[in-house]
Amino acid sequence: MTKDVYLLRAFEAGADAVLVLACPEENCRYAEGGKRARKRIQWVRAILDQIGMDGQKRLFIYNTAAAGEKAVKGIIKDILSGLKHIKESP
Amino acid sequence: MITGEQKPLQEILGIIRPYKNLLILGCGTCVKTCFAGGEDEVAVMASAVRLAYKKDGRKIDIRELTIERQCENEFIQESAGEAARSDAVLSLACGAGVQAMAKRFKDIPILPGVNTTFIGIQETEGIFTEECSGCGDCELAVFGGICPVTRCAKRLMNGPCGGSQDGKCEIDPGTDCAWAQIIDRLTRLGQMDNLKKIIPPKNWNTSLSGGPRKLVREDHMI
Repeated sequence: MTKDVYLLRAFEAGADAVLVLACPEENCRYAEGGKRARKRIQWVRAILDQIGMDGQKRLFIYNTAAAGEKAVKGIIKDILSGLKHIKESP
Repeated sequence: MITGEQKPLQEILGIIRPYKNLLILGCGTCVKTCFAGGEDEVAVMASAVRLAYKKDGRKIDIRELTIERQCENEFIQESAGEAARSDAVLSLACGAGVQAMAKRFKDIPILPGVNTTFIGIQETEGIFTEECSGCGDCELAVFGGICPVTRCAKRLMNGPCGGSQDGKCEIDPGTDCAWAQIIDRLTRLGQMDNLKKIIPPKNWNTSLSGGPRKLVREDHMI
């Protein structure tokens, strides 16, 4: 389960960005897991915005957990290149 | 249940600013149910505050604790140790809980982290609705279990206003007309005769309008 506190604690530990890889929403074994993860990401992004850390640029969710190594590597590469333009986490 | 919403983080940061050693105290009952102040919310609040302080280059020592109910002494006393070690307590309980804590711990600032809103229910997943105003003179038996004091925007006691349209309130078209619901319900119960009796203007003395109230049960006093 993607608990919101785990995402925040990752930033507390010094992460500049957090990527959540979830299964496609229509393919969740537990029916709603992907949808709930997306809602929680939105919630935590709003918290990060309130702190002054741009949530949209630091917290990501991709529903491609089953897409394969190449796709995941591509996502990580995109995120890392985006991080060059934002400040390090406190 | 009592519902509440967390205060905006910036407001909370302003409230706790003078203090270096903080206990964030949750409540495991009403505010947990409406996702404002339970154990999970305490953890998130602590993490968010620490992040915010780190970003500003400031330090704060935060401890987290959640007790079953912040409105009862037998649970409040479980927090005594942690409260005593703190400059202040940020309470995520409702206003009753914050004040119960303040009565118990007179020398420690007890700060509210939640805006208490209403007495209500969880209508459906994620939606909470106000149901009861605590007027102190319940007439739900007359109205088929639907309260016109709370759920009618105009607090009408003798039938709908002329603005009720298609079952919706003219004040807020997103709100169901309480009187439409009362009439539907009384019809279903076969109790429409209830509405033949004129309800006189409400005596508000039994509500908060009459001043802060007290309930005394001598049969429970030893």
